[in-house]
Amino acid sequence: MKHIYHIRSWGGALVLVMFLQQTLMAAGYQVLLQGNRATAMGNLGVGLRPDASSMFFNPGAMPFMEGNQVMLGINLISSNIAFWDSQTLNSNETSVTDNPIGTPFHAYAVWGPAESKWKFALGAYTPFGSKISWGQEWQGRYLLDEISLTAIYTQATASYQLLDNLSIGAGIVAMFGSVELQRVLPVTSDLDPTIINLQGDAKTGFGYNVGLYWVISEKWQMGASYRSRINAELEEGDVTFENVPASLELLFQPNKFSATLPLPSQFSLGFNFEPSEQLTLGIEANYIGWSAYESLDFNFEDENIAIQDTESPRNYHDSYVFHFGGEYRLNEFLFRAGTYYDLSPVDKGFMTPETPDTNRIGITAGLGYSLGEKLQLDLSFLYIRGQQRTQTIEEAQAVGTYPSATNSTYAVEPGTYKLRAYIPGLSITYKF
Amino acid sequence: MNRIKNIILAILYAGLVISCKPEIHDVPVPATGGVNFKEYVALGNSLTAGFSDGGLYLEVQQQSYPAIIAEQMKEINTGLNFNQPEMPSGNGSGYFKLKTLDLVNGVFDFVILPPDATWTNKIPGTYQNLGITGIRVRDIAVNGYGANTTQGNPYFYRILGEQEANKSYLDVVSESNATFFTSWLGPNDVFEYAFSGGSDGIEGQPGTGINGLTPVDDFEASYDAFMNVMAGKGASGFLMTIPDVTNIPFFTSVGWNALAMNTEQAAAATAGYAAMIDPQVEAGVAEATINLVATDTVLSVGVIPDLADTTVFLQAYQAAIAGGADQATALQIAEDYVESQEGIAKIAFLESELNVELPAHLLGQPTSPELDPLFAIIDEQLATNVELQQAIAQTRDQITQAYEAGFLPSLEAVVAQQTAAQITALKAAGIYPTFIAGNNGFVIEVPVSQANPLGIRQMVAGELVLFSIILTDELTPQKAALPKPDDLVLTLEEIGNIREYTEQYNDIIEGYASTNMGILNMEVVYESIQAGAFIDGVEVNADFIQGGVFSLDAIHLTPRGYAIVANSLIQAINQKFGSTIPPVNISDYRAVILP
Repeated sequence: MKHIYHIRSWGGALVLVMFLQQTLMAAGYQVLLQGNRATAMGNLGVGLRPDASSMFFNPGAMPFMEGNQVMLGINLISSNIAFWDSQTLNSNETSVTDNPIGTPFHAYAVWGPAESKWKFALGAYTPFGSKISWGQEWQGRYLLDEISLTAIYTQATASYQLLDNLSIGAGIVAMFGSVELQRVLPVTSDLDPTIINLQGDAKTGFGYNVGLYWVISEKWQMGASYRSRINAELEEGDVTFENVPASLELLFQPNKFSATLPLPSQFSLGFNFEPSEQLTLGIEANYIGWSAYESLDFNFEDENIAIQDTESPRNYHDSYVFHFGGEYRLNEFLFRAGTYYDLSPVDKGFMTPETPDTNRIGITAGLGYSLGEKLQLDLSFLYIRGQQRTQTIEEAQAVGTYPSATNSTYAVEPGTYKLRAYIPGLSITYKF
Repeated sequence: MNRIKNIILAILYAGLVISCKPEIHDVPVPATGGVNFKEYVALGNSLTAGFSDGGLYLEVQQQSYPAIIAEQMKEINTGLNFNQPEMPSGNGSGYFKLKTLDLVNGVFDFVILPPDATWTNKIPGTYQNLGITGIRVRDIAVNGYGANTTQGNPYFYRILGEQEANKSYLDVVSESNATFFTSWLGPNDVFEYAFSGGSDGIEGQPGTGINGLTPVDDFEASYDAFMNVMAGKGASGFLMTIPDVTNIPFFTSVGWNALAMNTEQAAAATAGYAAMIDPQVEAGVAEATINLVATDTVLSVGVIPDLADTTVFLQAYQAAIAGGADQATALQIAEDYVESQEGIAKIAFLESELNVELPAHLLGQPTSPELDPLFAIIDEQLATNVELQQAIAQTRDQITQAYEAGFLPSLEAVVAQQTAAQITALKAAGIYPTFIAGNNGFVIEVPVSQANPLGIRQMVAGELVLFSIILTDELTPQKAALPKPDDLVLTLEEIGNIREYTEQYNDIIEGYASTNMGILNMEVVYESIQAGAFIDGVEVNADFIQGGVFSLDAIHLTPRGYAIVANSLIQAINQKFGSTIPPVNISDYRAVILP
């Protein structure tokens, strides 16, 4: 028999909408791994004596590089985030991400005519990216189950030595990116968990970087660079569902989405100091234009009571990173170490599970080894220690990212988060 | 080179080898506090057994709130033993399952999975979940409560040994080794009354049935016996109170005014009731009016002149006696008086006064007080004077004939006018159903009374329709507007009874609060669900199906609902006894299974 039931208010559909309001990306999707020499020295690169990776760190420095170079490198990111449901009294519920190993790479070729003041370079690298897998069991699974963000930058650069001790450079960047994220929908059925998956490629985005390098003296050098913001514009992304019970099939149809994610600008200033032949010390500061990340909005091609366009404020603020590092030469070996302090751009209440961002300390070490004149190996190891950070329900409610009496947006999972990352890397440089 | 290769490999793999996952060191370690969790026993009814979707079956039993709590207690006492009288895997006692659900139009269809043939088989043993479906506080000391499966309680029967047929529930409780217990006994003493639409009344009062409300004294005596048993064990525990049953989806899913109509339907239904009621009203008015006219006519011709004459005569006679005349003289004075002009005028005046006020008197309306003795005489005549009665009946028949033949237009006008007035009065009293486009109150059957001769009325705000109405054909377009039987609704009076008894039972339960006996106010728990809450990533409320808390029977909870109850108890236990039993994540427990 059929039962006609007069539904008082269709709260259920609103619940489903709510779970799509959460958004793609969070802070800390910047990947500072563009050269393992720099990585090993506390991730500083702008003021260092140039090598091929300077086309990323400071295109202005390239004219001071001797000869030509091709550099290939890779890093293996093993990072995990732990979560504790500290916002529920007496809770001992914890979870930890089971992230796949991330593999950012970099490839640079720098060439200049002999005796010329010009240097030209081509390169590809991955300055932004994130792979996080919380799984389908953790408490915030209705916000995020898995995410993978990749942005590959390709760059063409020209540099010119203006003066004996000063050079400048500029590059044009084309960005290719893609995003995939998956979350569990709060539906109970006889099937496996119902899942929504959003996957899309970004439109090719364009930007630039510029730099300046000043050899102040034999012992002191200074570098400054700026990299512009590129917006990753996702269009015609695919929305798909898995394990949809029959009663929800009409609502959960394959769909298309669009969204825009800013890849922020960065201004860097660094100094290099060489007290002796063997020793190099560097300091650097970065100013990152995270305030561009105001909100993340999803637009769906077909809307219904369960699938509706969403706007989700992020309100990041601009942030700083401070680096300190050094290098010591002993015969054919270069011993390197360093540290940096990366300040979170994420305000209270906006810490999302995509990368629950906290202030981070990076500790680095590495080794360079010259195999004759032509070949150079650079190994690095980076340990990132994110400060344990607790986001309370009240903080989130105060900024409207967690449901309260007056608001139904569910964008963050309050609780305590802690990040650790272990990142070994290797670059090979061929000089000619 | 080999050395370098080894260094490279070592560094590259170092990350993988030492990438021990981060741990948060502030996570608390569950602790026992001041309570002994050696043996936890749960007492109660179906809600404690884990009953859900109209049945008790293995999957929901395993997610009963006592099972959830016991599992969490194991984080403190790893050796905790918690057995439940599990149903055979399968359908258990049978339950509902959604077959189809059209969320947009709110139409659903369910299948009723039949019970397992073996579910009532005996499985005697020592159980820590003693939630017995159907049990009331007043049943707990009854010997033979589980004697057999037909008249006894089959859920109790199955946990008793072959030789234990005569045991009461309290006997079983007293045999347990509980060091800590929770009790959610009490709800059924009032719920059964509510679920029968209040039609079973209050037990012990006239006209009541088996599902009547438990008399408060019986409840108190029975609860006291139970508390004595627990006191004898020295067990500490938590007593859960009875929530207000009228706020669960069983009573809130179909509104009192859920009778939705468009303009045409409303007009047709109104006309339909009018066509049924108006002739009844008119016939009644006509009969009463004709009776009044006939009585009035006969009295004014055959009784009143005589009565006036006699009254004036008597007054004159009594005045003469009072003036000192002897009996004979007084008689003469009175006879002369009624013949005199003054006497004749007085008689005529009294006669006209009586005639004028007679209709009012016959209608039961107040009349001039000085006429009361005379009207009393008339009433007595009407009651006892057979000749008069016959005369009236005869006259009534004559008038009726003339009226029905259409010879009495003036009388027809009076009847029509009074019919209209009475209909207006019926409408005002809510017992003449009318309908408008939009929502309308259902029509329900009520006892026939003088004030409500039709025995129907429309529901009013605050009254409740039982969810079980959707299992009948009462809501089909053909029948939706017809009167609904009393056992499908709760009237304001019945709701008042429910609330009053709930409060009284809860007062009794709360009276047992002590240092080792906590009280969990379940009304607070239910109110938080009704208000709607966002917990552990899911929204929950008391709506049917999509609220996630109430199961398909609209009474019992889903595993998610039971998890909320478990967490409420856990936090209350922690607060009272200083323990730190961890709560569960309620989104790990399922809501209604969508087809």
